[in-house]
Formats: sequence, structure tokens, C-alpha cells
Amino acid sequence: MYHVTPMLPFPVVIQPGESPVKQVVFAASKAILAGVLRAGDPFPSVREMSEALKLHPNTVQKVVAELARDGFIVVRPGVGTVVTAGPRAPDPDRLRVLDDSVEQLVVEARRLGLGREELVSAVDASWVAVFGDARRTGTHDADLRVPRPSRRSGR
Amino acid sequence: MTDIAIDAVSYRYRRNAEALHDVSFGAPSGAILGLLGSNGAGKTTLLQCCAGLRAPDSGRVRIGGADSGSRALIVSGVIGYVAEGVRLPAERTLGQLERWLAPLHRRWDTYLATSLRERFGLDASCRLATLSRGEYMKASLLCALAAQPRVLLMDEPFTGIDALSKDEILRAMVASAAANGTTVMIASHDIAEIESALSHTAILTAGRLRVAGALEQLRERYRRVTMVGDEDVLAAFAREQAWLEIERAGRIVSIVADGERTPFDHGMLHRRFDGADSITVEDLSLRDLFASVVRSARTAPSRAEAA
Repeated sequence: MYHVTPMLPFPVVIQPGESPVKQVVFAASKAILAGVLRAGDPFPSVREMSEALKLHPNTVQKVVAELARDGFIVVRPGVGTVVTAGPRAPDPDRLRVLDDSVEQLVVEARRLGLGREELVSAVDASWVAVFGDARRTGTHDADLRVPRPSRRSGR
Repeated sequence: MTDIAIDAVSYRYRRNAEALHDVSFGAPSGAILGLLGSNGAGKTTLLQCCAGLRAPDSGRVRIGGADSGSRALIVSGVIGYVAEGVRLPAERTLGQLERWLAPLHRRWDTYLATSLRERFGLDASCRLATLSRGEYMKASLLCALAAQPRVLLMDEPFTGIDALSKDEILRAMVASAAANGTTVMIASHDIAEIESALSHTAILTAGRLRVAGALEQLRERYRRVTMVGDEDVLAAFAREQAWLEIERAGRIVSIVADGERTPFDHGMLHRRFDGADSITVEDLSLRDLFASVVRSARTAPSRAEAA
């Protein structure tokens, strides 16, 4: 009968400084892409999330809006929020979103004296660790594949 | 809808310097506003003006549209006020206090009171005089929260409170904002811990307002820009970019930049200072912003005031 503190189905610890919206969106989408949360699973409510993370409700609202926009969840009024089968097919410009992070990674690798191949295999290993072996498994991988340049006509 | 509107408030304690000088800012309904400032900056005085416990010498505070001095606000439970020094009836038990308060507050929530008592680890049959400092603060928080005020004013509510209870208080606070749209103004030195729960902030130094607004906008506006390069480009950078605080070590200059006065789009910075070896733009934590604002107000008051 007494209060139960809500727990989230994806782990996240908010660090001060960086936008909390970005941090929670990252943690939630990682959990969905990695299959911790599956299609049809209920997604925690704004109130549950703000209580569990001690996060302002408006901030959580933005997290939900962003995840819904990217197709990770669907908000069904009266029913609640539900995880979808996966984000919609990526548009060709999506890769550009990662430009900054990739540049940072490349510079950091170089600074540590790593070679190009070493970095590529580290990225590959991390991919396998999070999503499983990309070449063999899953529907997720098909959804996430970035279109090859040849598929785009006129460039 | 603006729940807290502070308009040109000044306050002077007898024969002392002004404790508040021409302070104006507001908080929309449902906001959780962190009132930040060093010791003696005027936070407590301002909260007391908001609670109607002090009348400003000039200017006024409106809570949900009504003047904060009006008796109706505290009596009807529109305002909840939690601070050290708030007295509870020592010879009564917490349970007796709750039963006494319940009929006085239209929106008193018995279930919430019970649940908070459990979460805070308090005993309903304990005499209030026997509570420790932290338990006493928790008991007064319980009473404020269970009354479900429209505006909750909290002055250093974490003094003497353990880490676990701090979590519970923050949870109760955001849950109340989520469920009832309670507007909260909280003065606390635990900046890093409350940062994520906040939607707004206001920073005071020496009785003056330095920075106020929605955290998200402040996060866009104030950033740390670090540049590595030769003397001439670093000097040009320090001259042209509006900053709150500047640090320098050899070929590196790091500033807390004010993007409203000189925008700092990353690409644009690279074009304007193309002699620089590297330029990085980073988000500031609220704690870092606070520290920069306080230090810049100390070293160059006029510059910070212009910000």
C-alpha cells in the first residue's frame, strides 16, 4: 500500500553538465536497439521516469517526444507509451549526425597512438558487444543499415 | 501562467547594506527553480519576501497573481514554506500534528503524508521535541508536501539530511511537480545533486540578480570555449568574444562565453579565428556556471551586471 520507487527498464545515471535529455535518449535508444526493451513492451510514464531519475517532468517530456519522433516508441493516449519494432528506415543524411562523434573518436585514437585498423576493429568489437554479431543476427541490423551511396541517384 | 513573479524587489535590514537590490524574475507554473548564491547573497531574504514573511521596501512579489503579503495565501495553503527555524509544536507527536493540519488544508493528502512518513523513516508516535535536526526538517517537509501547495518555497531543505533521504525529497518534489504542477523555488548549496531536477535557475550575488532563466536556454547561452594557438590569435579571441570568466595557460585560453553577446557557433569560430590550432566548445554544468558568475561578479561587477 505504500509508495514503491519506480525502477527503469534501462540503466542511466545522469551526469551534471551535459543535457539530461541527450543522456536519457541515448540510454533508452541503446536499450531498445540492444533488445533489452522489445517491441510491444510498455515504456515508463513521464511521472515514473522523473521520479526514478529525479528529473524535471518537462525534461522527461522532451525525452519522450524525441524518442517518439525517432520512431523508438509510440505514445497511445489512454493506453500508455509502447516500444515499437525499431526506428524507421534511416534517411541518407542520418550518418551526418555522427560526424562530430566520429571525428572526436578518430582524433582520440590517434592521440593514443592507435592505428586505423585497430580503431575499426575496436568499433566492430563494440558493435558486437552491444548488438550481437552484426553479420548473422537480427532484424535490428537490417533496420539500422545505412544505405549505400550507390542507392542514391544523381550524386 | 506565471506562478511566481518577482518585480523590482529591494530590501534593507536596518542600517545595513541592501540585502536585495532591484531583483526581478519569474517562474512559470510547474517550474522547479533553483535559487543559487553564496552565503549572504540574499536567498533567504528573497524566499521570505515570497512567503509573505517580509514586506519588500520597494517592488512586489505576486504568487499565482495575488500579492505575497496577503494573508489568504498562507492560510489557504497556496504557499508551502520549508526552512530551518520553522517551529513545530514540540510537545505533540508527528501523527497529532498531521491530524491537526489536515482539516486546515483543503488539498491535504493523507495517503501522501503516510507514504512520505514511511519513505523518510519517521515515526508517527514520536514527540517532535525528540527528533534530530534532520528528522525535524523531514517532518516539516512532510507537512509542506502533504498540504499540496501551489507554490513550494524551500530554504536549504537538505541541511542535516542524509543522502538517502535527500533522494526521497527530490523524488517527492518532482513527483509533485509532475502530478499537480506544483511550482517550486529551492535554495540549496547541493547544486550538482539538484541540477537535473531543476527547470529554471536564478543566481544572486550580493543582493543582485546576475543570471536567471530556463536551464535549457542558459545551457545554450553560456558555454566553455577553449582555444589553442599563438599569442596574436588568442589575444584577438579574448578581445572579441564576450566572456564571463577567462583562464589562460601558455598557448591555451579557456573562457566561459556569453553566446547572447557574441554567438559561438563552432564553424563560425573556426572561420573567424582560423589561425587557431584547435577550438572546442563544451556544455557547462550548473555548478560551473554558478562558480563563473560568482567569481566574475567579484572581480568585475560591471561586466557581470551587463550580462
